[in-house]
Amino acid sequence: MGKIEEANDKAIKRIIEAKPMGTGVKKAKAVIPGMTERTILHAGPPIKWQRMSGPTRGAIIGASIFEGWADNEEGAVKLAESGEIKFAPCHDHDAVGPMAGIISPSMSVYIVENQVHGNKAYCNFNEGLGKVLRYGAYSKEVIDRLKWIEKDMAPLLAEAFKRSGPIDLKEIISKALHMGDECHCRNVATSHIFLKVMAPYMVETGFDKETISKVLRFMGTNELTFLQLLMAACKAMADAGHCIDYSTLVTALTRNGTDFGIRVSGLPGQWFTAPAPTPKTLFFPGFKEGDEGRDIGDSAIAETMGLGGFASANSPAVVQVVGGTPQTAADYSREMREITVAEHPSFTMPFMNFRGVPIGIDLRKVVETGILPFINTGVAHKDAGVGGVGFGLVRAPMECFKKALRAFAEKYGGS
Amino acid sequence: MRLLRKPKIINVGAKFFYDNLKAQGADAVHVDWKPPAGGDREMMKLLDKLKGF
Repeated sequence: MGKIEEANDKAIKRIIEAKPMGTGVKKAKAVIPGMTERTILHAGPPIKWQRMSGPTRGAIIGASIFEGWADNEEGAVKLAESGEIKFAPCHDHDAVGPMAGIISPSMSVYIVENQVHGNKAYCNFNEGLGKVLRYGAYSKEVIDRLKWIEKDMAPLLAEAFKRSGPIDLKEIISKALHMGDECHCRNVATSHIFLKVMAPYMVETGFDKETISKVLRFMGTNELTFLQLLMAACKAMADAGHCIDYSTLVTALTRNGTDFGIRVSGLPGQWFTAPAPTPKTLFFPGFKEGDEGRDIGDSAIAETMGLGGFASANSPAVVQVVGGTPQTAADYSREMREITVAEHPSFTMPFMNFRGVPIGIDLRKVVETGILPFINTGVAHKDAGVGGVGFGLVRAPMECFKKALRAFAEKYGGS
Repeated sequence: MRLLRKPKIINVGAKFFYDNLKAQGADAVHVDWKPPAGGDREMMKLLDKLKGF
């Protein structure tokens, strides 16, 4: 066996054996490595304010108002332009954020620990759909909801986690895959299972009934409640296979609304980017073609772990958004086997005779076959301040993989 | 005589030819094949070199 195959075997073994557990909730500034009082983390590869997409800018404006750094849009933009805020990718700080992926110091985050290898991952809370910060909205209702999350929801969940002890997120994902979720755009089962597990502990906290009731209702009516925990779990698992010399496995697919970026296990500390594509979108009522922004969010960490688009066979309804059929959905999952090195034994798909989801994207296979990773995704409005416009399907751009292959050959002597 | 029999056709690559054969009632199968790396010579060279690792 050659060095690359050996390295990939080692990386995929670590990724598959990783065991992500939800262990608690704390403020970002208290737990995320390198998070300062004036740091804002964003989704995707590194980017400066001047090149940021509308939704990313909008979410930064909202986060600045939420933090009390600015009173309004004008003040927030001025602050962002001043260079006083350090912008950095969530991924470079052991974190992930959906859509714009903005995490500011005072936001609460879920803490996920990989109990097998000891690494941790963090993600903020899901606010629901539509006019929400992660889609770039920053109106009063958005800021009020974020403040309510900090005042009521986060303390309640933090206390509930103390009572529950570590929650096995891998088990929740495994179960949900047998309940119709593809675990990216459809997180109905994961969210319900998580709520079922946590509800008794939330009640036992002794918080007042009104708060508990409001939080339970908020989580129960939000079918993406679990998305952030799922993303942090995927990040914790994928990172277990990162930094393995000679490994050609992709350990992150991600986007910031301007650029699409990938990380590769054997090339730590480097980003390989290309312009972010525009998803084929099914629009929410009131929006139309031309409203959509370019591909955005760290949530493609789900596809990196064989979920979402890679597990399309599980959720034909997601593919249906752009006219697909159950057959198309199964074809997407089959196609992704061509660019991956394994099938996850714990994440299986009933409609594929319980075969595991395709996992471990090998950048060599992507370049050689021309088959691009297939991603299910939320879609934000192209402009700051509007919010979500729909759901869509998109492919990663080839140029990221070609750049990574050149860098790999250069580092390991192949060129 | 063999030339007078209905041919069995294997189409490799461009699916357009297969679709037209089928439309005319031909007995054909399609093999979904593309040149490695879409024919990108630089990438093909890099992939070849990495095969030695």
